[in-house]
Amino acid sequence: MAEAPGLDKPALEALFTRYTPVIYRRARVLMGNDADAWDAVQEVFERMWHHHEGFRGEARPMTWVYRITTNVCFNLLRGKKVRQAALRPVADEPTIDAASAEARELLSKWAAHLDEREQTVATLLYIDGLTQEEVADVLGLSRKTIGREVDALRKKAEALGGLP
Amino acid sequence: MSEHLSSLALDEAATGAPFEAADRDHLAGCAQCQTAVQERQALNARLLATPQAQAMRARLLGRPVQQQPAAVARATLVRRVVLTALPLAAAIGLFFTAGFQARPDDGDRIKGSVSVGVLLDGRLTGRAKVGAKVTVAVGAAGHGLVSVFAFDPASSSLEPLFPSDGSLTAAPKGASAPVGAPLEVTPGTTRVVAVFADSPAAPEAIRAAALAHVRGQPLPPTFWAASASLEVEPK
Ligand SMILES: [Zn+2]
Repeated sequence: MAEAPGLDKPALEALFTRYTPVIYRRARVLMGNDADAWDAVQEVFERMWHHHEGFRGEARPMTWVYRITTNVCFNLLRGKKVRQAALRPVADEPTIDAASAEARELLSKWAAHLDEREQTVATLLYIDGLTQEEVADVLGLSRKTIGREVDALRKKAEALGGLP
Repeated sequence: MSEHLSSLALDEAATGAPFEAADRDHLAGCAQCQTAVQERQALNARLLATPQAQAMRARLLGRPVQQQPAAVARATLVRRVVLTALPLAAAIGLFFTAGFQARPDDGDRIKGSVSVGVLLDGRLTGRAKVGAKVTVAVGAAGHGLVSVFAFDPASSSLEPLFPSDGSLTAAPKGASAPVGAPLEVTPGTTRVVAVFADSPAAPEAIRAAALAHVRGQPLPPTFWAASASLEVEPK
């Protein structure tokens, strides 16, 4: 899988070193377990290699990473290609597990009531803690559009008994 | 002063990715954000040093896995949780294994039988509720070393529990003695597999022995194995 047209090994290495921890951490929170988070990491990089010209053209490449990681995780969750597990060592990194437990509770609540786009916006806003402007950057929307989407989301959330 | 950096901007700053001038200006004058960036950098470095990250690097970049210091390897316990986003019933019901073998099963070979089981409140159990804290107990039957794995029947995946790098560790003495740190029960069904040996072995060989055991195949003569299933009940 080292074949990425137009990218040499040092370039791939640099991308791997820079973005792996970010992708992993986001995926770990959304997926809820290590093995699935690493599956997501692999898939994000495969997309990055494949679309590297578009990726390199991004003014803020981290927004691409956030967007694609969210998409990949949602795809994996939808495909239920999620491992079942019955045991896990008690967390040695309580923050990520606490964040993950909370995130998964929210995700399960949203899954029933929000469409895919709304779930993505809600994830970026409330789980990742992005600003509205950043959500707009991540999704490639105008700041006006994101304002409308967030307003609609808040109204829906109020009807559902509130988001965080 | 503008608002503190968001998670996105902190990631950009911590990884040296391009980021916005306004964020850069804020960072230059904000000790709190500078600390947050440093913490993230430390976490990133730690993550990149884990065996999992090294394995992914090898897979993606075609490089051999680098040897990790044992301390780093141990720090990254395998953490596996099932998604609560899945309907709980589906998570539990999908891959139900037949009931628990109350006695630890298929320990074999002479030197007494090796065994493994799951302890809840100090007693062997085949069932546990989600959220319960349990411990793995092994009977090493005189063998000096053990490695414990979790086998997931759904995905046929085998992951090391103790030690977390899949190597062998000193086996406790006794017919059924606790080994490793406490584990938290999450939805799903799993099988705990213990591989025993008398002398050190490569992680690949230990893993192969564990896989042979779950597949019901003969083990290499230098390994012994036992397993036990755990059925998980909703809270
Ligand atoms: Zn700040």
